[in-house]
Amino acid sequence: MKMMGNILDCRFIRREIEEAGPADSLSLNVSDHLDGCAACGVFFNEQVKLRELVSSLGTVAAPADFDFRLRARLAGEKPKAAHWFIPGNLSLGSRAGAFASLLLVIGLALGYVGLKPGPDTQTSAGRAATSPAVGSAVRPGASNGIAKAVGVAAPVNPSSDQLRIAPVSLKETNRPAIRRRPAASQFVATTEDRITSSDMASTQARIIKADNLVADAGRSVFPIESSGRPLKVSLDNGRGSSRTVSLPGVSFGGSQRTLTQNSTPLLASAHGAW
Amino acid sequence: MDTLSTIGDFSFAAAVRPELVADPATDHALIEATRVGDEDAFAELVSRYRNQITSYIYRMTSDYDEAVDLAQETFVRVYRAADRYQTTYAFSTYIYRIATNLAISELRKRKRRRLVSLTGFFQSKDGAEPQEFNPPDNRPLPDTELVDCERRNAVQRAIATLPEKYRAPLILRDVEGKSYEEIARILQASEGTVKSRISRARGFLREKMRAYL
Repeated sequence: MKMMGNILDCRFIRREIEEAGPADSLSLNVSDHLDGCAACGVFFNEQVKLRELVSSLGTVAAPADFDFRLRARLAGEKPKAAHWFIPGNLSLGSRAGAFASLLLVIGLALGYVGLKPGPDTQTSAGRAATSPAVGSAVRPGASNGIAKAVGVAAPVNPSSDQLRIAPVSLKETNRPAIRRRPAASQFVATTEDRITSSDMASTQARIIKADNLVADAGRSVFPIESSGRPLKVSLDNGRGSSRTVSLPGVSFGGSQRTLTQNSTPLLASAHGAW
Repeated sequence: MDTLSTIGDFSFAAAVRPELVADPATDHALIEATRVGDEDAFAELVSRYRNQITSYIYRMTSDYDEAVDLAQETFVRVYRAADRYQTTYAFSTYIYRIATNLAISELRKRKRRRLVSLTGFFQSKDGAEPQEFNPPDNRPLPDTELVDCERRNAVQRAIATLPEKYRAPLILRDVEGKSYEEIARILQASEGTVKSRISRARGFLREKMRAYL
């Protein structure tokens, strides 16, 4: 019990020693306790030395040019502060910025919509790719090996049959010229005059009636005279082999053989296997 | 043992610094003058507190260049917020609070800047938790020209190892000589909390500075 009392006393005494300032005087209780308690005496001495060590660190002086640098720093901030603290300028700037951003977004959207390959242009591109006269001229990238991404096709001699590839992407990149078949969705074949095509499937076929035939006898609805000649078609598979298909003449009620009478209407001379 | 009547009987090196006796009323007048655009008044405030603030932040961060930069930032913030300053508390409380927040922010940034962990290189042999590589910094500090520079360096390094919540009250109390009341206002904590943290800080220091006690 006495020991517990001493422990409690030591705790209170040490707390008082801790909280006392350098110029504070100790109470008589603390003084009397320190006389009789060696442990608290050691604690007291350590506390004094520790405070002496820490307080001896002293004050580190600011550099001589502190004021000058501070003035320069404040002067550098003043225009920014002025800019931000004028509400009119702030709103005008933000409005102009928003308007410019909006214009940019609209421009990009229009560019994307315009360059987006539709079904008609894809068909044209497909035809151009398979056509032997044009296919060899179709290659991505310019001769110097840089794939230039431009929104407008390079100028083409109107008299030539060559087509130029205009990539859709607006990002300019430097890539080595790699000869590869362009994906139809990425590139669009264009000429100087944009190819226009129409979807025949969506247009209603002209209905020809017997009366119209008589009335239009003078005008040829079908190129009847051309149907008398055999039709030869050369199909190129794009891998160097071609096949010629010969279609005999077709008569619509005439004396020439009809397709139905000919058991082998197609006379093909295959030059190569597909 | 002789009877001890006061701790002041022992020689403390905690001399009262002249700049600490700045008149609070004058400080308020100077900040009021700064508010209306008097740059000379602000220059006077800077000359009064630049050494204290620089020294305080240096004791907190142990980096002199950083301390100068943060001290300037402290004054910049005082200047920017001059129109919002209220005279409820002393100006020294106000400026020390700004300096404390900047110093603590810097200490926290340093912790986050440790991008590369070398723990993998220092795995203990028995496969226990890898130890963090924390090499000691034995470079001399800027105040090495003072007497007993090595002892002071040791004290500074010991303080630098304290957690930031213990470091600030200890420096404000034992280095800057602030009262518990003012420290509590600066740190926006209760006096009991301040006293408790100072006690814990001294306990840590006592263990680290055992050789010097």
